[in-house]
Amino acid sequence: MKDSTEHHSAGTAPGRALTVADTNARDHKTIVVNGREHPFVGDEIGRGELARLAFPTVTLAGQSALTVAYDHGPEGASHGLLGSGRTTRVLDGQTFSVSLCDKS
Amino acid sequence: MTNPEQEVRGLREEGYNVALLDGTLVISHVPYVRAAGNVGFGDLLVPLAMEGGRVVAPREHQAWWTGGAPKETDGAPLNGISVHHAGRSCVAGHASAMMLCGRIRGREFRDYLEFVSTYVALLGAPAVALDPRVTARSSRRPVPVATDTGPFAYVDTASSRAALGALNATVKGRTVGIVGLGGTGSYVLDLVSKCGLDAIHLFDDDVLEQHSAFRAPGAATIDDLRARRRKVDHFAAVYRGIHRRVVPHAVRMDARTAPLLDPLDFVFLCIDDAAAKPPIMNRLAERGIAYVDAGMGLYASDRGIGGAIRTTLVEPGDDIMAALVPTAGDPEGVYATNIQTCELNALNAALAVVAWKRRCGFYGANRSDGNSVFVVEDGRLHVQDAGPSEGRAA
Repeated sequence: MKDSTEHHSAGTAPGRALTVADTNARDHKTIVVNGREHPFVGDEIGRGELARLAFPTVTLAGQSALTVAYDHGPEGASHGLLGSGRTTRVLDGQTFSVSLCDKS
Repeated sequence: MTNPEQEVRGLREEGYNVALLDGTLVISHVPYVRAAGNVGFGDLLVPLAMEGGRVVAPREHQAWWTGGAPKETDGAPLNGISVHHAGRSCVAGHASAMMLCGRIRGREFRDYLEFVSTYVALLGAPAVALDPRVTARSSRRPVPVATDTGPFAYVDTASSRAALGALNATVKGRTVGIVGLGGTGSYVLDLVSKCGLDAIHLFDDDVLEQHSAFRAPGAATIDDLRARRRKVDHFAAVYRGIHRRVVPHAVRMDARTAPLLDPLDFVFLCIDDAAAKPPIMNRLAERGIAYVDAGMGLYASDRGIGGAIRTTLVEPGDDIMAALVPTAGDPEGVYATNIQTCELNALNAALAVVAWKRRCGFYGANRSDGNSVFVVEDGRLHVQDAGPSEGRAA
């Protein structure tokens, strides 16, 4: 994973710094899971990885009844529910909601 | 002010064929001239305005009409009454009705006798010109004065005012149960108590505690809290104020008590303990009883409270929807939070009741309801159809 921070050096024009950051962003996306930002490398993400990001101690068995929704996703399927066994293509800034909806 | 029965008797003494249905006066056999130029008869439907169970002076001058478009003798549209042709069935058991609009110039009607006699005179004048023998005051078909307010403690004037009687019939006479009277379950009760259900059964063995009051509809008093009553007894006492058949069952629902659900038409499952759900769900599946499971999962962050509320309608045999219901507890505290807020409890309950009423046919349906998920931080409702298709959002 590449460093995600912008690179500034003395005498560098602001426009140059932006260009460096944009280049890095192509390899590294930021996704938001339950309100927290996470770096993400790759093209697709599924329920298991999202469950671990939301609840680090979750077990495989505990994932089955999780409710997973996403927004700001890829064109054509920019938001929706992520059912069991499904993945979604990941965009930078995509948001995810992962919860066990069991309280009443 | 009078009571509804007095209104009916007063009109009957004037010779009208009158019944009282769902808070609406139904005046039968009212003559008019049809588009074909001959005399026809229709029913005039007049919703009663009521306050405190007593009839008050009419506040509106619209009525509903089951006959055809009324005409003058020459076939021109009837003078004095405007007709809104988009018809709908507004009293259960009656034909589709169109809305009529007419009033005495410059003021509303003084009382329902003036209301009815004015409409009958306007509608019938051309008919009498064609045949002087026709009249709405024949009293040929005496009908008993209906005094039954159904399951309600007083007449449902909200429905009659909006002419929703026929749609209300889609839920009327059904029996539902609410398992769990926490925040969501108590709001479900608040909503279904305004439906013409035959009975509402409540299942919960918890005591009404102080924190309960902050996630429930209405305002529990300090005396209510000090009484230390079971939730089912507290809420049954409160909601019998509007619905007379709220039945409390102070039991914890498990395999032993699940048969109590057998007589129900539908169940709202609103309990926190996911591990307690399998015997309930199994019993409902065995008995072919559909249900809605409601649940939320919220978290607190620096950005505020976020999370999702889920409303899952499970028809008998729909294993895909049933699999979306959490059925394992969280003894390790992996999911940690027990955040709930009354407005999200209310939203969860409202979505559950809307799903049920759509299933009954009260609300229109362009799709088969299955799972719906409202994500708080996105403000978006994701829906997933019942059955094999999934992953759709709207």
